Amino acid sequence: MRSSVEMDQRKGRSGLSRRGFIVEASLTATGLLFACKARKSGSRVAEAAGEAALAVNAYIELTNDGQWVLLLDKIEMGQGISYCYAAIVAEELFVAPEHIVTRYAPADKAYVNLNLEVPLFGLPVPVPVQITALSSSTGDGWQKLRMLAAGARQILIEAGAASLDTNARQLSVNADAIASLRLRSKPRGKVQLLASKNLYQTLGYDPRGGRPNPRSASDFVRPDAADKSLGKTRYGIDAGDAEVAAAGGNAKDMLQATVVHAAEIGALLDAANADELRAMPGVVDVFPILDGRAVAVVARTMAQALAAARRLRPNATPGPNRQFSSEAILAQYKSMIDGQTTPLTLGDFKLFQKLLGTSPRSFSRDYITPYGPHSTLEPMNATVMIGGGKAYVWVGTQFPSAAQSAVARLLNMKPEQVEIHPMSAGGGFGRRLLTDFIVEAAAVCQHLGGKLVKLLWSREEDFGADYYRPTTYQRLRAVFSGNGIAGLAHQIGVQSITEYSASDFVGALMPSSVKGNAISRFISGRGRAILANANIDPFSVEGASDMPYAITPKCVHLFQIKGDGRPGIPITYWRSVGHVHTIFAIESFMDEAAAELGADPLALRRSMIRDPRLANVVDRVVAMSGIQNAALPPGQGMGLALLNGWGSYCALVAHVQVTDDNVRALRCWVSIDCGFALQPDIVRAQCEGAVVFGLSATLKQEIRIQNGVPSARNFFDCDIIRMHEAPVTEVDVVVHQDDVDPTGVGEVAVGLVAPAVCNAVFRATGQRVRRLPVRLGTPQP
Amino acid sequence: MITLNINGEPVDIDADPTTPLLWALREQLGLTGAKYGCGAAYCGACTVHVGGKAARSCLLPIGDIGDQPVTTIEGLPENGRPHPLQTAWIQCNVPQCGYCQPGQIMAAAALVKAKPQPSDADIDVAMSGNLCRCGTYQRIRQAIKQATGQGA
Repeated sequence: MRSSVEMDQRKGRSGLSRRGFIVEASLTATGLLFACKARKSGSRVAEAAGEAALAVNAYIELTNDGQWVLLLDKIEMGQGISYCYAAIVAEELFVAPEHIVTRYAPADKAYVNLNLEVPLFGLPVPVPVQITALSSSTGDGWQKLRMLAAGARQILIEAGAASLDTNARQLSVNADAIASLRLRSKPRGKVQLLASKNLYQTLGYDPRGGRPNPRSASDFVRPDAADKSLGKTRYGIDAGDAEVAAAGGNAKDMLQATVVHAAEIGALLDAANADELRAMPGVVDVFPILDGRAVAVVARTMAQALAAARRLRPNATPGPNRQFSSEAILAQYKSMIDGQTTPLTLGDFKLFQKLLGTSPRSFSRDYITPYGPHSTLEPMNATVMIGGGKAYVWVGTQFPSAAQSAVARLLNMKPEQVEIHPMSAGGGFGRRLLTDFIVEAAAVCQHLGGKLVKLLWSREEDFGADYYRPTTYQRLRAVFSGNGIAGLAHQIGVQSITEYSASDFVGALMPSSVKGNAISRFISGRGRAILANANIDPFSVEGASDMPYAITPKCVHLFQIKGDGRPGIPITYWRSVGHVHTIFAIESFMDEAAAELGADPLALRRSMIRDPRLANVVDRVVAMSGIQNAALPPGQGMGLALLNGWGSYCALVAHVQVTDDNVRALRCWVSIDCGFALQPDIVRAQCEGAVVFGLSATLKQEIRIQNGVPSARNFFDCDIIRMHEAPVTEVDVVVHQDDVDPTGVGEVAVGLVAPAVCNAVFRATGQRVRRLPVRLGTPQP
Repeated sequence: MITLNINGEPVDIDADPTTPLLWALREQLGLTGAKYGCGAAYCGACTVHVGGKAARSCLLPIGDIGDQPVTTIEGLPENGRPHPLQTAWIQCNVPQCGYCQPGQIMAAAALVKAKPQPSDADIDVAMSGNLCRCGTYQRIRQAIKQATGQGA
């Protein structure tokens, strides 16, 4: 018996247009066979490998015994996305979130983030790649997974109606109906896994209309909390038989490798004492990879590899970064800002200059942030095996698309020949977007003839070969009028992150490796200059270009060092990216401007805020903290900062105590409006963690570079906040009664910590801090 | 061949006596709960119990352990039931990425064995050796207090 249902074109609430498609549900004598075909071309249908499961679409499967399976196309790195996606899907399928089994989706063109837009050349450019970044994941799932799960529910109903020989509309849609359908349907025969990126645009189903019912804090438990507390969770560093056996790998034969990079960033090296190292216990081989970018030490055990690598005597050729030091780079930005040397400009600088010329009252301050390490607690690692015309990679990656294309390019394979098997990560923070360490692992594996090998970076290499958060020099200049700010120019000296990541994004977006190679080479070469000259890197100016204060005119200048003097220090995204430096400058400046005007810092800000959602979180955090009427003992102070970013609104107050030049954050209050808070306890946890993360950058961590050599090799050179230094943090999550979508959470509070702390330090000591990390008594810009 | 007492069982380990306990656990015994974070005893991700006390396994050669009992996160549950700290960790939703948490729990377990009702100051001292990059310290403290009946 066949029944076909033709769906009309409909526009859904989220505004995505949907195209029609045909569902064919055919009943065999003993079971049900489902096949969904998208009418539009471009869909790909692949056989499900081996499992007796119904693959409803690329994200949702149903096993023979009625278990729903969610394929997670994002990485769980602590932010709780595995729960949020399970909750979204569960709501549509009438099950509890804990009844969804989640496993990682492989790298595949079917999985694209629909909630990622990057402003490029002034236009919002969608970036449809498989990526976990920019606090976009919950929003992406909200759009996509509700429709897909609703579609899965409807498909089951249609098929059930067919099997019961009744009209689908007559089946009451409730949990019991779904459950009984599930038990009755035993898929047999050919199962087709849908891999079409158009599929979620073709499903014409409305989600139930309700929101996932957030469990209250008292009964919500993260599904990954148990394994993580029992030590059972497996990270990339743990890859073993549980991961590799399915691809024919045997962990007993797995070789273990580590690498050594030159101390000077980007210099090439080999090992002066390779023979001595090869004679050490368990060492299999020592060889340079990637034309000397690193030296690999391969052994039978990781302990042996690390022990040998510690004895490696590098023979390094001085490289292109020997001329660079972070102080000189900052000095160069300052002189470019002083001389107004060829900036890229957003906003009306001419109008600002005119205002400046006519006003007697202007005020200017400079701010500095250092290079910062990611310091994920799990160092970089990847496990690779090559054989039978395929490459297999097991890795905690935020960017499976890029990993797939980068490995394919190295090995001269098509992307489809590279299987990326994502694993959970001990922290990402942007570092795991990059493919450098994955390409190294593939190069080691290739050198070993394809043998299964795990590459682990030591902590020393993780600090030394990091792609840092870039150092910045900023100047804010305000024109005063009356009691307020009548015009603002924000000048930012920083390297462009887009330049450094462009070739990874191009690789992820280009379907064929040949084209991808050519374009990637172009982007890495002359294309970089084009990007730098013609495009304002959005990540350099975010927080400033979209500053929420009603000040007109305002403008943003971006100063980048170009040509031969361009610093070759690798940089990338670091949790909250541009907001780390722009919000530090703006929110510190607002306090300083208020003092100059004789105004209250809160009142000055409130007078310039027009968005009621921003005003709301400010008012709430002010009430929570009591900042306006706190009678604090000497040496203590409170400070405020706010922002509107990632679609969310956030305000933070820090309470500090200063003793003999030592700054201690005692308490923090955070009010966050992230739209629909799918699980408030996860939002709270993310904000609590963001406070500590931001505090490490505010008080402790910096990377200084001298002659191309970074200053830190391990945590004792570059420590993070510890238990005894952590503040008590209270988080208020704004609850919406109306219908709003979820917006970003994970990065939001990070950039507020530094300015709030520095504003508090001023209240406590009378000292202005304009340079991070805070070092009282040192020269300030 | 070195014989160690791991989680109550004698285990033969075919590795050089200079092999750090962390790697013997992970590689010879497949006990991957203890993690590599810094290799310098500075981050605490490798924390296990040796002779009933918290120890940094990344710098402890297996040849130096002798017959001292070694307990790892895998051996913390008793009779199949999670340790009260583990139960509290779960109820308080402590873990984010979770990488540091086995080491955190082992450090906390050593603390509560020595001090069944640890104060905030006790917690500061005992736990300040364990880094958490995700910043879960506040909930770790809450979980320790909950597990020791001290409330929030």
